[in-house]
Amino acid sequence: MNSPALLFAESLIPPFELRRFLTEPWSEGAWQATQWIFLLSVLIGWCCGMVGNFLLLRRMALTGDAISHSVLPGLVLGYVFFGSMDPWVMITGAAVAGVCAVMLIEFLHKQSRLKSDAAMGVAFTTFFAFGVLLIRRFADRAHLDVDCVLFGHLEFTVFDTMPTPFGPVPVAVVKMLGITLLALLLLFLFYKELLMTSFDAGLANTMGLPGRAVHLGLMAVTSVIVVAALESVGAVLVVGMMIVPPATARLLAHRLPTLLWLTGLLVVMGALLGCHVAAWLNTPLAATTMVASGGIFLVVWLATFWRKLA
Amino acid sequence: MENVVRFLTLEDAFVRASVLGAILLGMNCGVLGAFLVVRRMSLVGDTLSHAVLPGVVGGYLWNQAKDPVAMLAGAVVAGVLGTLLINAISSTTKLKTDAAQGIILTVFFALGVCLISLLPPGNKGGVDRFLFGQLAAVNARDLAWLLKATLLTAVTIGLGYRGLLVLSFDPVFGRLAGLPMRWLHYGLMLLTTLAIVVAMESVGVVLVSALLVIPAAAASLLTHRLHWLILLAAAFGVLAGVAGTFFSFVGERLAAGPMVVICAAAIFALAFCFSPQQGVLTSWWQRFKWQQRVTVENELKLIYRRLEDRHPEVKVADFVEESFPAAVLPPGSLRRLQRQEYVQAAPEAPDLWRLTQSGQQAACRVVRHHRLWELYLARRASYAVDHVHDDAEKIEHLMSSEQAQRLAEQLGHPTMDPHGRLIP
Repeated sequence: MNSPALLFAESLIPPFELRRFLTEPWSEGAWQATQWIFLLSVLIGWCCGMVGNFLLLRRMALTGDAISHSVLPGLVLGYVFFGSMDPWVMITGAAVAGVCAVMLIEFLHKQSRLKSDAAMGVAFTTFFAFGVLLIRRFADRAHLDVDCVLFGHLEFTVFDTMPTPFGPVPVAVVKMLGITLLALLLLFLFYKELLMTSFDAGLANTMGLPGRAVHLGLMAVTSVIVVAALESVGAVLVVGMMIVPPATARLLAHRLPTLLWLTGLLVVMGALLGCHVAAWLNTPLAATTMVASGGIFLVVWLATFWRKLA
Repeated sequence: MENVVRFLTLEDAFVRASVLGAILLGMNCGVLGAFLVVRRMSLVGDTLSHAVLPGVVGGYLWNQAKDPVAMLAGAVVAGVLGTLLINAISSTTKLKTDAAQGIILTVFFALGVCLISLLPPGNKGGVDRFLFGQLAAVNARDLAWLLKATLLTAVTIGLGYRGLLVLSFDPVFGRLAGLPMRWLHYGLMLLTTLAIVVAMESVGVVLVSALLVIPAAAASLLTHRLHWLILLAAAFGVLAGVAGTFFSFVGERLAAGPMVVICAAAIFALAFCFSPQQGVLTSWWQRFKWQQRVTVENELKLIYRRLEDRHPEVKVADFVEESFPAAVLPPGSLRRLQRQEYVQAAPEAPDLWRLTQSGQQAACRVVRHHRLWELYLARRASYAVDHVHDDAEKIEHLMSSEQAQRLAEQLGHPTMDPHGRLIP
């Protein structure tokens, strides 16, 4: 069993020590960064999980994927036109691009025989290609890191702090906290509309609820969350945050309130596990958190499957 | 300009290589994409292209070299595992296929990103290329792989065409007929994975899914038949590939991969707007022409009624000699009628007009259709006489001369409509 490949693989994986695994992230010197990283990934997970639940119920799981790729040209154009990396410019540009992409998908779908999946595939890849083209074109002016857009740098976002009454707090955390509160407020205000349009769009229509407006609003909120989370976790993983924890919750519950708080709980578990595994293996945090959430999904899936068999 | 010539003469070796690469890539992805689009699995390309990442990195880790065979094998394993897992998730839980795809896509991709970070520093270049691709840096080995994958696709689809046709449109029938639907499905997925892996080095993860979907979607707007769809999709893929490399070579700082996708999107936009059967602009134009025709016919009818009222006793309508004032018609419509040579100015007074010969024929035709239909409704369909007008208003524009002839025969060549007016 001492093949060179195995030896090589072993050299990449540090030895597992339970004590180190459990304590290192919270040890002296590391815990301050860890607390912010943990808080940030939980906040992102909550935001994404909240909209993700509704996307999943509306069978639009991959719309998150489409939006997360489509915001790219909005980001770059926002930067090129306004010449600043101001988060509000970025968020607005990206939200506009996201909503445009969703409307384009619907337009393509309605105006031709094209199925919605093909319409989605056409629209978001085109937006993304356009974005990559723009980035390469304006590479000297826009310091947008394609790597960062795709993978995110959860670790580095916490170093950029701003002063608050509670001492220095990372900008990303403040931003994400604001967006989480906004999302919660919207959820609280429009809970009934969201519930009805997600479970029974036909009934919601006959009751006179504004299904179309709720749909576009949800898309806009999704775009905003995607953008806000983009620099921390990257385009692909933000989609994962939207799909995986809500899907895990779906395996365990039927009712919307249960789904929502269960998602919140699963996000915390994923973030905690990801945090520790990343510290052990020295891997990127965002991706590790995602893999951890995937692992939780696998466990829950196998458990429910096993219970069904037994 | 000189760059255009340089590109078109293919004098540089790297231009030849990237054009050849783009052609093979477009062909392979177009053909396989046709099946994905028809089977409503367009996003499978996106899922697989992300899901193969851990396989690629794993293959790289296997012998710490950019050994294409190991990376390819790893990618195929990851792709097949992903496909199997998606099937397993969507068949054992209440999660839908799209949710299962999303889970596999993101978790596998995250796994790949983690694996990349495990690589010793300095060794990441080869893997990075898989994410964004460099069409300009295609070498002979990449071309050989592209060629092999394309040939394999062509041979497989050529041999299994009938089975794949059934799989695409009616898999349940295929299963009942004893065709190996499951194997065909997995074979197709395997070919798609292969196509994605060999294409990734050239255009990158996201853009390869674009090449799978966009040309095939454009083709699906133009034809219903699978073999035409496949050929068209391949042709569009090739066209997009060549055009993309061309613009990226001629233009300044335009990356080839995204440019290929933009060209494919342009082809799609053209098909979407101008497809003969379902192009958006085509159908707008047709609707516009139709409305024009209806308006003209209604105006001719107005003129006819005006002229007819003067001579209730006339047996065969002949109004070419009769003139009518312009005020009969809504403003602006005279000019249109004049342009189509249905009316002409009357010689006797400045504000009087006459129907031309063709104008009279057209007017008679519409009125005849209208009154025949009224009569038909009143006699055969037992409509009340005061209810027949609204229906006839619609039918008069739709009826052909042959139909009117048949209707007249069935009704015994009548001369009067139910309101007692003459049928011209």
